[in-house]
Amino acid sequence: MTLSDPARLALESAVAAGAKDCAAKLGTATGREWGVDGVALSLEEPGALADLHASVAGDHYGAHLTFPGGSFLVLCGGKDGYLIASAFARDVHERVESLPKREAHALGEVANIMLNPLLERLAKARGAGLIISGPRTGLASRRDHLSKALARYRDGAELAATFLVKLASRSLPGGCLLLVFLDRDFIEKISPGA
Amino acid sequence: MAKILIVDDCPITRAIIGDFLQLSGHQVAGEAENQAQALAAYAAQKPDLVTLDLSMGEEDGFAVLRALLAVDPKAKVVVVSANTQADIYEQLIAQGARGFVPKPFSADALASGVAKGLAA
Repeated sequence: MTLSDPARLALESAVAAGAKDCAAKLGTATGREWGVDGVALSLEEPGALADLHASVAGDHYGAHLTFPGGSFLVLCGGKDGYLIASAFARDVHERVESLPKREAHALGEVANIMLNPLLERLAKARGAGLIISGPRTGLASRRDHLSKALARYRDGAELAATFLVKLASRSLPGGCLLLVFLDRDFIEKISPGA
Repeated sequence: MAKILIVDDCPITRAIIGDFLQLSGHQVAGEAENQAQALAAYAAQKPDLVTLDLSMGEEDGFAVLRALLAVDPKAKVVVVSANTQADIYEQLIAQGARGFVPKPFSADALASGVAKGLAA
C-alpha cells in the first residue's frame, strides 16, 4: 500500500512517540528502566517480519491484543517473561507465585498497561477513541505467535502497515519486540495533521 | 470500611487490587474475571463498590458497567484501566461510572479513587 508523505509522517510520528510512552510505562510496571532500541515501518508484510517467520523455537511468550482497525503483538523470551512477571507481581509475590500461567497473565497485563499510551496516540491520529481487547497470551515460537496474530488477514481484513518496535532494558538482555499491525481501513482514516 | 468487588481479567492485578484495598481497611467482597461472574458476585455479595477493568476477554468494561447498572442503578463502579483517553473517560462517566483510577496504580492512588467513588 502507498501512503501519502503527510499521512506516513503522521503515522510514524504517532508510533515513534507511542513507543517511547510504551518504554516509560513498561518501566513503571516492572520497576526497571526501558528504552526504545528501534522503530521500523514496513508496508509489505514479509519485509520486517522475515526473521520472525523463521524463528521456530517454542520458547517465547506472546501477548496479542486487538483494537478496531489493528492489533498489537508483544513478544519476549521465556527467561525475560519470567523476569517481567516477577517484577510486575513484586507486591503480591507470595500470593501469585504458584498461579498457573503466571508469566502469561503478567505479560498480558503488562502489555495492556504499556500499549494503551500508544493506542491513545493512534486514536488521536485517527480521530476517534479506541479500546484495546483483553490479551491473548501463551508460550510458543515467534513464528506461531505471528501466524495467530496475522490470522485475521487471511479472513478478509487487509494489512496495510506493520511497525516493528524493539524495547530494551539493561537488566533484560533479550528485551521485548512489539509489532503493530494496522488495517487498510485504519490507515485511510489517519489525519495527516494529527 | 467498604465491601468491594474486584472485576479484572488478570488474576495478578486482582491480587494487587485486593492487597491494596485491604491495606486501606476495605474488605474484598469477591473477585470476577468477566461479566457473568461479576453479575453473580454482585447479586450474592451486594458490594458497596465495584472496581472494573475496561479491557477484558470477550466483553469490554462498558458492557459490564451497563449490565451492573441495569441490575442496580445505584451501583457504584470505579473503572481501573490503563486506557486514559479523555473521550473514553467522558463516556464512562456519562454512562454511570463513579470514578477512574489509571493503571499502573499505587496503593494511595487506588485508595483515593475508591474513596471518591464511595462518596460520589
